[in-house]
Amino acid sequence: MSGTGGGGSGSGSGSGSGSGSGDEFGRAVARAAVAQALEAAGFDCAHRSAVDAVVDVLLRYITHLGRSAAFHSNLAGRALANELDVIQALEEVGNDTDGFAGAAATGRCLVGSGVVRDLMAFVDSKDEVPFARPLPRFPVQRVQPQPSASPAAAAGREAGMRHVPEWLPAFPDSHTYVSTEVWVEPPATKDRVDKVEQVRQRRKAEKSLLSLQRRLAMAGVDGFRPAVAQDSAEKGKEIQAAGTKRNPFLEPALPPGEKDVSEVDMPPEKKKLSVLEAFAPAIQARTIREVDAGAGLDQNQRSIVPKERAPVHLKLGFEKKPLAAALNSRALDLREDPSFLKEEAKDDKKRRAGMILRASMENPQELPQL
Amino acid sequence: MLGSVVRKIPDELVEHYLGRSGFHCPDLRLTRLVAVATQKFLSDIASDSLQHCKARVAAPIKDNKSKQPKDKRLVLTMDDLSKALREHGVNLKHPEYFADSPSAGMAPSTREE
Repeated sequence: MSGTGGGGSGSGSGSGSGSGSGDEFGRAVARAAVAQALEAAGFDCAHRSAVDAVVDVLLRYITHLGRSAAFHSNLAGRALANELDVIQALEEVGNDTDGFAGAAATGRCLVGSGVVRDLMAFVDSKDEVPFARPLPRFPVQRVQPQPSASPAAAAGREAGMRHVPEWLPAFPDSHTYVSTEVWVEPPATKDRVDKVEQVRQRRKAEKSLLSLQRRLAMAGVDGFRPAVAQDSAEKGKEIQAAGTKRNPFLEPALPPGEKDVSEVDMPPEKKKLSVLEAFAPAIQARTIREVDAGAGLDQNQRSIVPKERAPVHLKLGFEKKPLAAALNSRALDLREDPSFLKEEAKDDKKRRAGMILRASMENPQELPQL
Repeated sequence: MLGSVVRKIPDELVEHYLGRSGFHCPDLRLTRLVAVATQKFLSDIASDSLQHCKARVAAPIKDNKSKQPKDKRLVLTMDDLSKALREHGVNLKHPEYFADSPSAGMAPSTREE
């Protein structure tokens, strides 16, 4: 066994910690055993560095024996070592450079090897010298060298990780790899969803308003038409059913006095609010029914039959294109308004209708003729 | 045979270091065998170094000043140990003094240039 123990013990004459890599407890125990053996041999005292060197050599000896025995057993195809493996390892190491009896002979049985005989002789010779029984401190040691190899391994073993062998180091904390729900609410996507929803509803309302105005314009231009209006393609677009329904706006006028109608009360000024009130049921009906009512004007018109007739303000002027643009621009302005975003859809529609009417009031020439 | 030996090398220590080297044996007798072998090795080293120490003390007896073989204490020194280990195949070299910093003998990676 040729090992350079000088490097290990050359770190200092102190505790000799340069040679130890981490198993300080084993080294301390071995130091005690070595000191006891030295005292039994006849030494009065010893240098500490010399004791550490002996400890290092001894531990290397044990390790080398174990490694060669494991190698021999693996060579034979076994996982667990045999006593013959140990004996062969001992022979390979060579207890003494003088050799032992029968070392030169090959091809003999290991059972009668000289090493074993030397050991037996040693055992017999040892009994002659009486010495103190070693201190019983070592039964406690079995707990420590194994946890020192696998620190805190038993901590997580009961947590359901029994398939993991114990000699592996402990896992990190479970919060580092367990995926939990993210608590942060992304307000950006919510706003985006709200904006998309608002834009969609606005577009629906715009479409319905546009078709209503168009139909009113058609009704005003072309005069009274029968309810069954399948002639024009435009009307066909607006009327959902195949014309079997009777459009109340296109029916011939009732003769005066046939039907009792309430008096029309003229509100003093607020024209916007009146039209807004006239459109309010439609807006409400539209908000209640989330179905695509872009072309379903019939249903809306049928549902809104106001009890009292509100005055209808007719606007002069004929323009089709900027209406949608005005609606879109109004919608853009409303979208930029932060206070507008926070209200409900119903209030949005009311406000938007009001803005549209305000725009129509400002530009009387641009609106289609009603 | 193994039970008659008063074991100075504890079984747990031997098992720990055997386990570190990959030698797993559930048999206690094998562990005792290795323990006995190491004990024999240790006693051989001790006896050889003792002989060297006694030879060292007995040599300058003509000095007639201080060293008397019977009264002087036998100290295990590195010199005796290195001589004893050389016969077993272990080359032990201990520097007598240190003229450098404590990190002189360490690995070059840890040493400052």
